[in-house]
Amino acid sequence: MSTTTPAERWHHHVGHHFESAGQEFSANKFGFWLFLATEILLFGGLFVAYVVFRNLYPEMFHEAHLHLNRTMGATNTVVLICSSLTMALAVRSAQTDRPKQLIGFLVVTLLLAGTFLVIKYFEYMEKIHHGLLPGYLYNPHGAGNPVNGNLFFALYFLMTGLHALHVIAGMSAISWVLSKAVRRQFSSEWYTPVELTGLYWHLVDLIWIYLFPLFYLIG
Amino acid sequence: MAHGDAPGAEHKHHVVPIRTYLMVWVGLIILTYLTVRVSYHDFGEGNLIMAMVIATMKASLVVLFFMALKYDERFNAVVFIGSLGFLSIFLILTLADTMERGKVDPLEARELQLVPARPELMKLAGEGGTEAGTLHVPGAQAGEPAAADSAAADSSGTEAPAETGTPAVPGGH
Amino acid sequence: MATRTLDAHGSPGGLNYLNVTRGFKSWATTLDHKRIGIMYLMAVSLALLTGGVFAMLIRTELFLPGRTIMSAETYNEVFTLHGVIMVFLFIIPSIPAALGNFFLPIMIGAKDVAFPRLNLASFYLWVTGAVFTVTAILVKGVDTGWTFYTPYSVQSQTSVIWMGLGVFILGFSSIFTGLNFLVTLHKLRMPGMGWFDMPLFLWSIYGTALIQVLATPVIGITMLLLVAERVLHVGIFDPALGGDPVLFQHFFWFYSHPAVYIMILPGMGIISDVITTFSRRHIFGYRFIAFSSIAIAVLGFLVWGHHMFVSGQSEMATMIFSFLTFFVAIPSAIKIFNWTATMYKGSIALDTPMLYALAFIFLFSIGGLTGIFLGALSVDIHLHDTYFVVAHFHYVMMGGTVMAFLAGLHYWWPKMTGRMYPETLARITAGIIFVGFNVTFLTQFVLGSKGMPRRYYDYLEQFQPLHQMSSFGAWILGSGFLIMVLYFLRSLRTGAPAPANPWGSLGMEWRTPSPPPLENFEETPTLTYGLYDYGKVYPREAS
Repeated sequence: MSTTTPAERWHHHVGHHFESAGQEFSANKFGFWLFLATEILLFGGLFVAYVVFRNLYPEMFHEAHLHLNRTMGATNTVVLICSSLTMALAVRSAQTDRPKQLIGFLVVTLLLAGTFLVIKYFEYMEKIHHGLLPGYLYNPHGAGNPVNGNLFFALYFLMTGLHALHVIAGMSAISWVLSKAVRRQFSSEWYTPVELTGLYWHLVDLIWIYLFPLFYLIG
Repeated sequence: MAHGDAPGAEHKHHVVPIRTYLMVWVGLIILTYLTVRVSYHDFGEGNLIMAMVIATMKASLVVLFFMALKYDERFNAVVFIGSLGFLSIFLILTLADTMERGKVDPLEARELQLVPARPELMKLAGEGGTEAGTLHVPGAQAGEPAAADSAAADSSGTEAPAETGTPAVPGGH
Repeated sequence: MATRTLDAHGSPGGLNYLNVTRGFKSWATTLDHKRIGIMYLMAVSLALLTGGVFAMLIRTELFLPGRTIMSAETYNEVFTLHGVIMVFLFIIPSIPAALGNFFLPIMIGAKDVAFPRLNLASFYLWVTGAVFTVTAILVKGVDTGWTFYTPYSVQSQTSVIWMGLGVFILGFSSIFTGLNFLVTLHKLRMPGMGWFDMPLFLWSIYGTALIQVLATPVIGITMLLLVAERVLHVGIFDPALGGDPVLFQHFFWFYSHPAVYIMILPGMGIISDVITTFSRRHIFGYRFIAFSSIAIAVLGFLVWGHHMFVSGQSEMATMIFSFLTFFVAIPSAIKIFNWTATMYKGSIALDTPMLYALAFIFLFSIGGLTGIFLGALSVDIHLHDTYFVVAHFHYVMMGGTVMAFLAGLHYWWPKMTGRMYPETLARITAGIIFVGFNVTFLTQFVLGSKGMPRRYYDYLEQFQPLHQMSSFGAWILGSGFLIMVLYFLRSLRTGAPAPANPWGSLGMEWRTPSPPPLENFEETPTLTYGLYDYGKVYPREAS
């Protein structure tokens, strides 16, 4: 348990329109799952475009994907999986009144997320180097330039780019939660922001779990 | 399903044991390793299927345990599965179009009678229209696809349906 | 009459949600769902009037063939803006965000929606979207039609990006409203109010919210893809680069078809509540109407390809979509039958809200049936992109939703403002609007079936008489709206003070003063009888 005196302890006020903290938590979680549903449909649209074009140009997809760096992709997958673990453990720390552990796990999650972005940065640099950019910037040098290859890279950048934006958004949310955690605002009594940020972070991981095989492991 | 109306119906905050989290993590790492290994062998269509099956297994682990949907109010799971359901509708019906382009019912690919266009509209459309009467579709027999249906409705008649049997380029017209 | 202030009629201390705090800041930072509803009401009304001005410009231009008051390029921009403003700024948010926001918590005995700050954020997102739209108009306009079809939307030298981003932002306003309502309905119903004790307006709001949450993200990604196409030329919609322009239409209509059910469902909910009140009868088939709202929401997701029958879509897809389209009519028809049955042997009062509700039933039936004509694949080949389509959607959107919106506005005006509007003038205006509407749009069914294409600036001589009749109707319609705006505004100053229940309705919102206090109820009422139990005579209070 926290060692602060009751006078110092930060107290969360339940919204006046809620009957209880439990009702508020339940409503917050339900609302957040609805938000996650909208994210699934937002990204889902891009997945639909992917399936449409992969069906139309199966060989092109295979050939184009050979330009991607599998090692970096796989590493990033592992990085995100680990960050999901640390995020889940962070939520658990809040649930079990362990504020220092909470801070620790949040920091590690942030570091792992940062690692993901760094690896992504190197990946993108490599693409730029070879002229493999979206749209009118597509100007591949080097071997392996399939017809309509621009479509593969358009989808690659759109989907991993939107995903990266969500990683950045997730990192902002985690940083905000961290700042509140440092001020000892979370406890088993109230830890909703940690919970909801956790859900968001896991969704980011979920999307990558599908992006990875679809872009990096095309048969 | 929580109504707002049961006082004290506080949803117990389920704390997942650390061991569960660690086992899930191990499972995810193993499955990642597996999916990478499999991709180096050529199973044809099977590659995609296996990749998706493994990805779904990983996703299930994340959703059920890391996101604690297994222990949560059931309606939240309905929301999640529901969103996937509607996404599937989008995917399936869109593919019903993009994968079936250019395929015409063979029964239609035969000789068709043109309805004579009204003279004033023919004048507007200019000369070069086909004569009122039969439209002969070259090479079309029962069972052969042809781009006949659009030509029948086209009163200007400037497109002689010369290409039969060619798959339509995506984009239609 | 002595000047009256907006004091609550019967509320102790004269305090209500309108006067409990004062000043611009108290409104701009309010978390009260009622105030947010009022701000939305003012905002969407402004959008309705702006879109209406564009409509008047269209009909004036079309009064004569060839150039009448504007160039062809300007005409393309005017009908685009009419569509964008009416669809995204007015009709989609109107009933849910304005009336729904105000009444949903009251109707379930709650103090507010689940997420009041998100509610305010939704409103400011609407404002931001409106700013982007106005910017698009002022910079270079937009001339693609509200449907933004590729390839023209990629090539057009107008402010498509501003507009696309505006639509994206407005989409999130809608999503967050829907999300808020779903959580509120699930979690904040008062003790004793089960799902089947709710007023039917809330069932329709529920169905609407489902669509808002599930469909709107797809228009979001569609607009992002359009922007990516314009800025980067990614090629997804460009055949020269391997892409598919018809794919854009799939993306666009996957949202925009369910969107039309966002437009009509809340209106249907209002009709259920108005018909019962003014027939003094229990609703016929409560559960059928309740479930039909959900059925419409779900089935609405299966039919979007009926907008694409002649786009080059595969035969397989067109047949599937045509087949499925017929099913979506069934739940709507169930509602029409049930409303009619509700009125049977009822004690009908023809106050203005009821006049609009009756107009709705008649006009929506026409609109809905003509939708089925269009859903029949073979018929649509001839009617697609003609005035028949224009007439169809104006019958359902205006003859349907707007009539329902006006019914709700008149029904709930006393509750929201504490004032009565002038009844006789309102009835006359309803008549003017009804006549004006039909003259404008019935002629367009004829125009369309005779072959007049939509969105055309110029037309053949033979279509002129019908166009003139339609434009004449439009001016009548516009006049009706003008009169309405004026009498509503005047009622705020000099309208008779409204009692708590001017209509003798059994709904929850009538058990609190007009206007309601800040916390909605002085003490939360209990459900001692069903909301539609008009079995006992309920004396109408003199107003």
